[in-house]
Amino acid sequence: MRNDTPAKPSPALPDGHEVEQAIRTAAAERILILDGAMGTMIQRLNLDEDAFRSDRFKDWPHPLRGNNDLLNLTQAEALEDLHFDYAMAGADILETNTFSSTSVAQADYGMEELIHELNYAGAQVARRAADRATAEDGRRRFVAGALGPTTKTSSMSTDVNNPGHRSITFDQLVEAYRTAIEGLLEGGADMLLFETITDTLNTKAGLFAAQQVFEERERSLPIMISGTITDLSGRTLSGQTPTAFWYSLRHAKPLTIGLNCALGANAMRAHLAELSDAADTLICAYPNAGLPNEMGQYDESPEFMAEQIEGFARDGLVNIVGGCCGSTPEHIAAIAKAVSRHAPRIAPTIEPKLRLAGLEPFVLTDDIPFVNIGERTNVTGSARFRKLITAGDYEAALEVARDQVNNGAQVIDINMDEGLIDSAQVMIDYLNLLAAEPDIARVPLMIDSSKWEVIEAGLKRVQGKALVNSISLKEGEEPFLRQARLVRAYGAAVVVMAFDEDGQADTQERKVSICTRAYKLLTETVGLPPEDIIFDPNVFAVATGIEEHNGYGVAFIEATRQITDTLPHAHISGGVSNLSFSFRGNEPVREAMHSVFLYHAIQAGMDMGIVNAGQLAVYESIEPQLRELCEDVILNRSDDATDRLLDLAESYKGKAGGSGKARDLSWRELPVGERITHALVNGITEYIEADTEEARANAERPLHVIEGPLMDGMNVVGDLFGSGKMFLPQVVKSARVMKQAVAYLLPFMEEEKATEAGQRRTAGKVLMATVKGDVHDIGKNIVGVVLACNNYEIIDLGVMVPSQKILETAKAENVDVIGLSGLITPSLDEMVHVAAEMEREGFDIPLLIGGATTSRVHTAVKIHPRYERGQTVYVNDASRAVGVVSNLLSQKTRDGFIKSVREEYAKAAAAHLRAEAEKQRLPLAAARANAFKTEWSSYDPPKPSFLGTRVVDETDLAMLAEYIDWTPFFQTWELKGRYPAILDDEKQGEAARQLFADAKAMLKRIIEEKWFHPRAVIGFWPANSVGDDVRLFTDESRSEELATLFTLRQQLSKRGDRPNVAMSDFVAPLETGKPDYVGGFVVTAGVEEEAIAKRFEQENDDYSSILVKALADRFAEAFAEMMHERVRREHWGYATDEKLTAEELISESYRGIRPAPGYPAQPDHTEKTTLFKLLDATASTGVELTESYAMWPGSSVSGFYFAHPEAFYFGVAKVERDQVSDYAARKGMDVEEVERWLGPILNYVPGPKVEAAE
Amino acid sequence: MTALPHKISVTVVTAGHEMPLAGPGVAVIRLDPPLHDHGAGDLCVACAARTDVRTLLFELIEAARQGLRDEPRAVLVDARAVDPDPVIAAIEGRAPAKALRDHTVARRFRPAS
Repeated sequence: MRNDTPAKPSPALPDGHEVEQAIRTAAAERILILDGAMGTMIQRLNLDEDAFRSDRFKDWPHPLRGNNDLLNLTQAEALEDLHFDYAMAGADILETNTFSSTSVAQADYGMEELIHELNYAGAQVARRAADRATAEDGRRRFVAGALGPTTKTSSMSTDVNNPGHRSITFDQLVEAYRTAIEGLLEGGADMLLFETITDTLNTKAGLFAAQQVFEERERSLPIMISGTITDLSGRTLSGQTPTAFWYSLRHAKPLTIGLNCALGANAMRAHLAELSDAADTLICAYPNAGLPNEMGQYDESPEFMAEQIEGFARDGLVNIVGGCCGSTPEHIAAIAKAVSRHAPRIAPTIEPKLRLAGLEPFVLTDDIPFVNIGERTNVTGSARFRKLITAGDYEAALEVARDQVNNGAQVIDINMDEGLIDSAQVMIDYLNLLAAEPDIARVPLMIDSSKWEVIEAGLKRVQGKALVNSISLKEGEEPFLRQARLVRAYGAAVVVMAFDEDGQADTQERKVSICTRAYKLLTETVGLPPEDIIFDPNVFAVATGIEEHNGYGVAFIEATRQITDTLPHAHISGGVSNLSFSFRGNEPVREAMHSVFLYHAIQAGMDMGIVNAGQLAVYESIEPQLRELCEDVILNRSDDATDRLLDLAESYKGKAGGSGKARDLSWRELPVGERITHALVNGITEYIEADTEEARANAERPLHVIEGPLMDGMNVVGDLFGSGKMFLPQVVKSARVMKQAVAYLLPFMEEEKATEAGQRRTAGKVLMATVKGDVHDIGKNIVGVVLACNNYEIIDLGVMVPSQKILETAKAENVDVIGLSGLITPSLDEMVHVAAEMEREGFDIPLLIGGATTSRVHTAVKIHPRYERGQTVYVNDASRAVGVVSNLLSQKTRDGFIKSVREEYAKAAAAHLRAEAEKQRLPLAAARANAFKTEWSSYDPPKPSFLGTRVVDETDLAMLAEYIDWTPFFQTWELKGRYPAILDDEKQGEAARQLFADAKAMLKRIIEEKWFHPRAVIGFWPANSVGDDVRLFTDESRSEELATLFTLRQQLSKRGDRPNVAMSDFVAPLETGKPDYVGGFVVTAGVEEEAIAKRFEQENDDYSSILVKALADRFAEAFAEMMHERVRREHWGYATDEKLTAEELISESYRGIRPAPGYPAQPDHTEKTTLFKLLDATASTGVELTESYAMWPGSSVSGFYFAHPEAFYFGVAKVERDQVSDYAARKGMDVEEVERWLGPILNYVPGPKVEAAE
Repeated sequence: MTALPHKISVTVVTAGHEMPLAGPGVAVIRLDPPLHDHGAGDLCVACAARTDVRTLLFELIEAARQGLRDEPRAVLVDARAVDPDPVIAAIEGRAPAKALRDHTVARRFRPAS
């Protein structure tokens, strides 16, 4: 054993099967130990450049220090000692020092030609150390041939601007790995270890190479696979989840799967647990010894690391453990000792199911009755996609894929079989681009082509586990087996057509016999798992007029049944549209045929298919006569079925298809009660009248239908909502179903109204109203709907309801609860007023408070004390409303609940008082001294393009829609999160997507049918600030005053050097002599919204009613945003070159502000009077002010424009008595009146000034 | 309305400049000097977690996706303690991608103009 001289090969190379047996036997008894880092130990040797080179490489043209793998040739003895140390420290498995010994990695050193030798020597060195250790202590040691990830990546581009580029291909990687594997194999490695995997596709190439080598040499070794995860998201660097990673590689039947490297043991734990649950093989983990320190050394102590790894063992997560970067023989000894106290993990039994992967895993479970494979990315199935692909518009072609995934496709079919293009190259280009789109690449792909070369080109581009469509026995067994072996080697599942040397199978017998033959070949000869086989028994056209074709439908269905029964775990798929080929151009009949066919085929066991969802009628909704005839034809029930269907088909010609989306209709088979529950939970109105009628016919009284099946269903909805499994938009849809059912029952109930039995028992009566002066009611309507869902009777008095009407109705209707809502700040006072009136009139029923400006503190401090007889409760959340009301109305919980509310409010009030007392109060004079200051002398205010007002009739709704900020829209529905991230949210995503789709659909109608007529008025006036006021002038001479805007100044003590701002600070002071300007605006989505919402309500469609209101609000805000942009760019024109994306608009990253009276920068709503007068807003836009200064219609926005570049949004927050007196004097109002309007922001208790006396 | 989300703007603050006030919805990333020497662009998971701006940007949107925080409207990168060139190269998409997340970051962020 001397340097530079590879020793002779061991006489007998290891037998892979024996090795695997030996390891599995040992691993069943104890946790096995893998060695630790080689790099760390080599560092300790302090080798210099000469030592790396030795004699052999002394003239090598590249610097070689750092090429650790070269030491297998130049410092073999030292390396052998390091291996030996690890073995004696307790390692059962020694890793060869060959991590970088691939041609790709060695290219840096110009050593591509030495790959075989490096690996061979690496295996030999480790082998010798292993044998020495065994000779010394009698314990067997194994040698694992290490294969690193190479330095390149095949599943993605290294250039983010060119995502289709690849720096290395699958084939190049296969070659690189091949040479390395041959060296390891010949050098005597017991197994192969693919480690530190950063790119699954690279490893698939490595596994493919290993498979080739094993077959050629008729000798195989066990394989260990170890990935690396460093992201917070728990993904591999190539973007896969641990389970997807496992599904993509498990075709290699590895001895172990696991993780190494990464950020230490703790960071690895959760991912290891996921793998441990998913994988039915041994788990191997070898983390780093923590993180490198400033010196590049790892400083986790052996004891600390052992303790962490012992945690893995204690929890039964591991079978083999060791160390990666930074670990030493001391670490390995400590780890070996620590895990020796624990039993090894027992691998779970994993059910044989089809398990595919994109970036995320997909399992075809029993809960999925039918996988509809998206076919819009198929050039033979979609004319649009074909056009995009032939035109080379990949960007739009990717959008097609994205849409399919967004719409719920679980697998997408990619087919590029088009005569005019190079199908293989286009397949490669498209898949390369698709791989960089995480929201598409998350689903598994079906690689579809009639040409095997195209399929193979595709398989070399996907890191996940794909589906191949398709192979068959058409050309005989030899090519079938060759292709099937490749499918297995690439790690894919496969669709097999029922096609053999004699042609396509058309009878049940031939379909079954070909599939059975293929099944045997695949499972017994090729070794493909049966769950990875999908048979396509050929859907052929029926009703062609040729008698032999009449049995094709039955043949498919019955073959499906027989295959499902006799070939365990195999799946059935088919292309359904062939069936109706003879009815081309007659969509209604085609859709009906597809639907009837699927209905029967799915029952027989078909669980997958390519179906155009747009070409599918809902089975139950097909006209009975047509359905019956389709069944006669498909099930071949009578000889003249075809003729009769052809006759009937005439009457459907030229009609559009009546299909909705393809849906699973198996629920229609359930008993009526369960159907009603299903309809309620899923918000399906389609069948509710029929189902309600069926339930009514079975019930003694119509009322029993409500109290029985309907309420049972709503209880399920309530439970799902309560447990966070349903979301508000879905519940409102359930309510729509409920309302329609009740509407159907009403006439029947009228008939027996007189009898007591006809009276519906509800859980209680709730009166709801938006208070006087306020027009906002979306939140209130939502709460009403949710309560109604829970069997409360809702009396909704609408908006702008005076307290007198609330109290009178409450008495007349004998209600159990009153709920008040309001959005603008003056409504807070109105609520206090209603509470006081309730007290005065002797009410004692609960009072609920909700709405955007209300708060727990305000309720506790201001409203609750005014209504002592009854309990006031703040409920600002529809999801809490039911709990609160039921607690308040139940005899059992009522007292306890009220007690806890009172305690909570007492605490809140006390805390509020304390906070008030401790507040730093800044006198107005001091606040003014600390005003926002800017250098006016160096600023020339821009002049608007016109002075006075201008009316805008904006009817381009489509353009306005571009400005919509969707985040608040989702907030309206209590879906919390930002748009568009909310659409992908794990919990709320599904509800959000559905809501968004409904909103988009309505938006489309709003635009196309011009539902709204938005209007706006804007104006600009010469202006200068005078103290805290802004004076507006009639013209440029600035001699005649037009109006004064009064502003309020921040008066809370400031931290640091932040100023106490008032809006007037953003306008040039009169004394500077600078001509400045101020603008104003009122915009509205139009009055039409009210009528439309009402109409929906009358149709028992609260969902659409709330939706249209929420959209009208968005339009008003969008209009305000668009007008502000135009003001900046044209009308005021100080930012003519501004170019902002919608996102930037939403984030307000532009110059200038548009604060509204009544909002934080100017909390005084009464200033709107001035604004409206200046703009003559009511005449020009139809927007009116209520007595509380709310704008009617509610979907309106108003405000002032300020252009100063440093102007920013701020909140005045609380004001002191001195400012209120000053403000009242300036404005010419009574102090009491100002105090009333500013109630919510007063920093003192109004009334005589008592503090002065103290 | 496009299906693709709008891009979040990223401002890199380099040595000698004041950090602007962040404001609501603006995330701040502070880049620390690397733990130890290694070749520029070398893959080192430990350093990536501290200093690779794309890893940190990805973690921001990933945390938002998982509901741990709001998605930022804009990001300020405090690169005053490090060599800003690789940081700017990464944000402008000139640095080589090491992981799929780098592509995600390129799609979701853009340099502030």
